[in-house]
Amino acid sequence: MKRKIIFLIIICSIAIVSPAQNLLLKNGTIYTFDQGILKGYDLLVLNGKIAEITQNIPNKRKVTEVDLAGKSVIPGIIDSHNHIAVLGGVNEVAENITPEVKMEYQIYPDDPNIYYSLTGGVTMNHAMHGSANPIGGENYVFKLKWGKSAEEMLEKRALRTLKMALGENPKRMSDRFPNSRMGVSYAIEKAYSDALEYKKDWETYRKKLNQTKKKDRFKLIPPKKDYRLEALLDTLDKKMVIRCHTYRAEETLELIRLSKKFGFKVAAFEHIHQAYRIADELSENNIGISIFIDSWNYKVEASEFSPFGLKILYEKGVEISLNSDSSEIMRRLYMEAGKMRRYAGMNDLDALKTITLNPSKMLGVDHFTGSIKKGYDADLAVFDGHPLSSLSKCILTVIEGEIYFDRSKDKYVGLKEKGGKK
Amino acid sequence: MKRTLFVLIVVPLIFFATATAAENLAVIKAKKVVTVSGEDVENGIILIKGDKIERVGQDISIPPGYTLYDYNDAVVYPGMINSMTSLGLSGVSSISMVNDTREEGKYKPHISAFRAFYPWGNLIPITRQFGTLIAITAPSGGTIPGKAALVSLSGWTPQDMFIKKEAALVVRLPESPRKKKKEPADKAGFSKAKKELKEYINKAQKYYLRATKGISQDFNPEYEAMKALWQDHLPVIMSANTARDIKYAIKLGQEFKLHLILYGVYDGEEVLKEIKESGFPVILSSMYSENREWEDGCDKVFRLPAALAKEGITFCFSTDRDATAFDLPLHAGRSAAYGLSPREAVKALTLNPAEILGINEYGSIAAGKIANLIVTNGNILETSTLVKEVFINGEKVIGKTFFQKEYERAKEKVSGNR
Repeated sequence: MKRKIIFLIIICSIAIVSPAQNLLLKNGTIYTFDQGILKGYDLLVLNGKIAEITQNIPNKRKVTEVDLAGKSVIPGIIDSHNHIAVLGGVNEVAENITPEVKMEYQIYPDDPNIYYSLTGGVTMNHAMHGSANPIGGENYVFKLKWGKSAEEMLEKRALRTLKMALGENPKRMSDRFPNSRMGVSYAIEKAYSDALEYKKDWETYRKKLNQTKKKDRFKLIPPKKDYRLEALLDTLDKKMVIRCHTYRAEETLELIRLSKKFGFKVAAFEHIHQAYRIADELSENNIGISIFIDSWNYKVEASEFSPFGLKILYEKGVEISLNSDSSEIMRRLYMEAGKMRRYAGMNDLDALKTITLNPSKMLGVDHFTGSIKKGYDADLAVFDGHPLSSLSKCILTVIEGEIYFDRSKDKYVGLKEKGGKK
Repeated sequence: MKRTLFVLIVVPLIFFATATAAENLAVIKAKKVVTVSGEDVENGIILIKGDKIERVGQDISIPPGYTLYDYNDAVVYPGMINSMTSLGLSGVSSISMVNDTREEGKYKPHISAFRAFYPWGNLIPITRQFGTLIAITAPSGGTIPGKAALVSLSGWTPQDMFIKKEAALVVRLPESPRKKKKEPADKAGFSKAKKELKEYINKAQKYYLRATKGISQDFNPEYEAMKALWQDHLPVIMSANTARDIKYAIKLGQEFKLHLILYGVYDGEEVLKEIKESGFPVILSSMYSENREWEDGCDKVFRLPAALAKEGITFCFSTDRDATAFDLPLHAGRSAAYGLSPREAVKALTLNPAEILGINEYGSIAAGKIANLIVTNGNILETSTLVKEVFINGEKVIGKTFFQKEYERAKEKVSGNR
């Protein structure tokens, strides 16, 4: 009997650890954050995890081997703000405070944008609620495991994040409160005040319950359950952090005031074109920014901006991560990160961090992805040249040791066998 | 006596006048000069006289009286040309009050970008500071949105900036679906729209021919505006994306003897031979775009420039829109990741658009060309590169951009403008 169980366990573990999750990358330039840029190194992946990074690793287990001469390996890119793989709308617009809705209810694993994102070396995505509401819904984090189920893509180890939005977007819903930045701030303040009242009601009820004899307890009426306010209480209990859409500086400072008053944690401000005007405040309050660069002037609040402002933010130690917020820009986040060198004066590694390590910290996934480190998930992107260069392209994208994009095997890549080809 | 007086007074005056209106004499030294039309020159020297390049080479002795600009660690390129933007027209695009790109109606050859070109916004100095010195700015909307202007991105009034007030007629060919997606109802609609355009051009051409023969006819302001197509060989920038549309555009160009420039050509790789044989050049639309269908492959847009270059088709890059127009060189850079040679990529930012737009005095660094130059800290196709200095018509451009001013203002925390 015992033997049978052991046998079963062995069979099961073989089935769980499929050979597809083993990989040996040979002789590449490996971008690590703790050991620097390693040239001519090998990287061994076993069971989906990074097992070894050193020179001349022998292929003892005969795992799939990839020659990387002249190529570079970076941590899989994390797109920290996008709206792909979401079925239907991204906005719950009928009401202005909707933290009870969860984006993961409508995860759409067949969205081709998941694959297109992989072609730019992205392995993880933060799918966000829209910006129509001062307090929107709960976002979700997923790995781009194209072809797998929604369940398998969902990254449960990540922080829970809640979307907030300030400025033009929430206020332009003209048939609904709020219609001004005054109203946006008040809507958030009111919601949190309500949440605290609600908390008090429950506390009072529970206290009374304890003081009342068991046989009389049925006479006490509990407060009405409110999922909306409970979601807000989750942010006060640090079970969930805020990701807040904003463009202007003054509305951002106003939200920092509210976050201090009530005690919710803002993990990052999104877009925040005017961040450079409040670099000190962001730095003091230890709040990062999640931005796109070179995309501006499409609306009034986005027309006061300078990419060179990133230099001020960088020098003051504000954590910067890049996002795409677009099914087009997501394919060239590496190029956008490359620009951080000319705008902020970053070196290659710091520029690379804006699309890997920094977003991983903001999403609370930095203990297993976002860096190339022994024991971490093997989430990797391979480029055919310098990984921040416009002259390079991603050729291989790996998630947990499995190859999800291989440019050489994509049958639609390259000239078609018709028409133009001679 | 009179003659002596004349000599005594007038001659020195003339001399004085020429001396004070002193011709601009400058010399630029750089680590590398990318001439585009010829070989790159390491440790190059460029002599500028007036608004033109006098000489370019390695061992040139610098004559006296030339102002020296020494950029010993920089690379100099010809100024770039963006062949499709809405600069000076669209303002903050989402605000209709300041957006002047679109006029009512379907056929609007009489509408022209130069009439509304606004030079004092933030975007033009920014675009210039990133190395684009000349741009097409075009209206949009309808089958014939109107005429585009060709502007030099330096000057005070619009009039200072026009290289060509009316540089091309913009035509948006009604787009047909691709063959495999035949939808009978739509198909009829699309071919009807195409027929309508053809009929419009046909009537305009007849109007022009009658006018040249002196036959009296009713005045038609739209057809009057179309005359330039045949009278002045005004280029027609015609957008065409599917293989069928590209072929149709070529047919229109040939039938009506148009000076045709194809725009977009998304499915160009399927009709390379037809494009090549037609001799019509191509303006590519933004490389920051997506494939339309799954079967196109994720690299459809990016592999097209290399395919055009291989076939020997003259093409150039453009960005469309205005606020992101300054990112032009990286569109070329991205194509270089997909098989276009970096040399061809730079050419398609400079010399090719000059040729396509008929401004041959621009686009390369050679004796006799207009001195439109950019000084960069590296490869212009790279994400890390910044343009340090800009010379337009031989003169160094001064003035800070909004980006620079905002940076300084925030760094020093100065309230208000300075």
